[in-house]
Amino acid sequence: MKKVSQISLIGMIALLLIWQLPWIYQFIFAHPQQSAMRFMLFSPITYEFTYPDRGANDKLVGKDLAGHIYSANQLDSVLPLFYNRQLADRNAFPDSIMGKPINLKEIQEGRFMFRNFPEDTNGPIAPLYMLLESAPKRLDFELPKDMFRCTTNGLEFITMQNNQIDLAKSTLFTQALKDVGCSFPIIHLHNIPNLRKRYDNGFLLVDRQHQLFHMQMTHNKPVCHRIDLPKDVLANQVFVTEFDSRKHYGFFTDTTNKMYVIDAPSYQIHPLDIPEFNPSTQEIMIIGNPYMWTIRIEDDRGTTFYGLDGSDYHQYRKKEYIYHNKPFMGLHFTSSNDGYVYPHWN
Amino acid sequence: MLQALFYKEWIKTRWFLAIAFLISIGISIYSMMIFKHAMDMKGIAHIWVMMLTRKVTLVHLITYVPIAIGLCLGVVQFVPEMYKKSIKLSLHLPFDINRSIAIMLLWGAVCLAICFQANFLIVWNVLHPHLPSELLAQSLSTIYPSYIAGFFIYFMTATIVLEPTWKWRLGYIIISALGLHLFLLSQTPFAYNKFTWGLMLITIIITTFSWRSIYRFKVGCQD
Repeated sequence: MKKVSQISLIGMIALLLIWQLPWIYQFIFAHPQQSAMRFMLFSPITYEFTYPDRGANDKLVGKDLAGHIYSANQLDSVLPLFYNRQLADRNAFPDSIMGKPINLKEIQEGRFMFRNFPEDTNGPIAPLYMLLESAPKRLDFELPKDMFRCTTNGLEFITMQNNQIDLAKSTLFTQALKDVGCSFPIIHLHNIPNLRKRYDNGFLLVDRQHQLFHMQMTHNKPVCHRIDLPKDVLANQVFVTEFDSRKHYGFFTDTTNKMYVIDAPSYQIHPLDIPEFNPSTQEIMIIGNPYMWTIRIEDDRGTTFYGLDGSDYHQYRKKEYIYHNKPFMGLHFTSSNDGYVYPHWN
Repeated sequence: MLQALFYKEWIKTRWFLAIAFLISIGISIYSMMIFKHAMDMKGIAHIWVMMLTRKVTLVHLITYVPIAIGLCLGVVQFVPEMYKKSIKLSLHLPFDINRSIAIMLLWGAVCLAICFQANFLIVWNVLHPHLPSELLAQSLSTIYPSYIAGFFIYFMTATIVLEPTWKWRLGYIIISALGLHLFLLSQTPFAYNKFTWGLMLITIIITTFSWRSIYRFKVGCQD
């Protein structure tokens, strides 16, 4: 028994040292990633990535990657779609951008920000989903009476009041999805389960065959659509969006990590002109307006910015920042890629 | 002899066990009263939505109770042995010392298991008629690492108290603190689902440390 306890003690001490020593080393000697640029936007005026910074006397200035330095007022004019309120306040909001007439209301409604973290995709969740009535009688959304789970054979609605399965509703929605060609089980689905929103885009679902579907509940009835995918495109992760412009149902990535946007209400699909986005390992931020989208994709290798056209999504410019300070290898029990605790070496 | 050893442990721990049992049950009943109150005030649908969207677990009050009970049981069970030097008598009994320590630890582990089981059953009985399996699992997934941590801290406390030298006691305290940190890295529901085996393995491994302490006591190690 003495030997067993000696070996156990050595094992435990070794585990704790392997876990803690790299952490202590990093805690003392770690330096921030010097090349990391956190925020910049693609300008529809200069066609350059531009970012706010602090100049002499700690004054706000704008800088771009071509080396230009702008005053605060000039920065507003270089990024008029982002600083539109500042410009409107000074009566300096332009009449047109990129040769197209614009108005402030259109810009403010068309602005959006979309973010997704790897933990959103990989993190632990209770696999229950809340389907809202998309056409509520009043403006506010009402708390639904049920939630649903995905089973191998369809959807199963559970009435919250009595914790019992609502067979009639389950059959109704399962059949509605089957009618548009959905083959169960659903492998990925997404919605925005928030009652304080302006409208509801329902759920985007990916079935067993990697086909894409859209499901909403209108007047307590299922409204399901199959979204036709281009040939050889197999949907993987889906992201519902509910931007003020109501021009999109959301985004999805395919099995090769190509990203697409789904137009509303036409269900037309447009590929984004970026090489790849892997939702399981990469963080994405899109700051968009009707004319220009700036996409930032970040992972542990670096950060890449893309400037995309807001109408046909072709790429104007790309800027990549590679992290040169490689993270110190060690045993970790938590990860920013998911919310699980388990040992992994990286 | 076996019966006598169990009786000795019963004598030492009975009052503490009664209090621990009452506290453990009391806190789970209190947690469930909060749940019932919220259900009466806001409705069960509100609780489902909060659990789904805000990852509410309903059992956060229970998190540190098993750890506190494990720690106190270790102290109550082994400090008198060392303080009154009665452990020396145990060492001279015509009974294998390894078995003797095993019985002491087994007594503590069984008492903790009963205590945690009662705690768990109250939570499960109140929640399961009102919550679907997914949300019930969300609640329970946050407390089972605490139960295992309760056993971990009990075995480490036994090791620390039985250890005759302060140098090694300090070492064990550091191991306990770091080890316990491993059990409390995340309060997110389902976070430990992939590592339950690891928590249990670590707890089983550290069970053997007490034998090392008692061996060192027996051979007369001193500061």
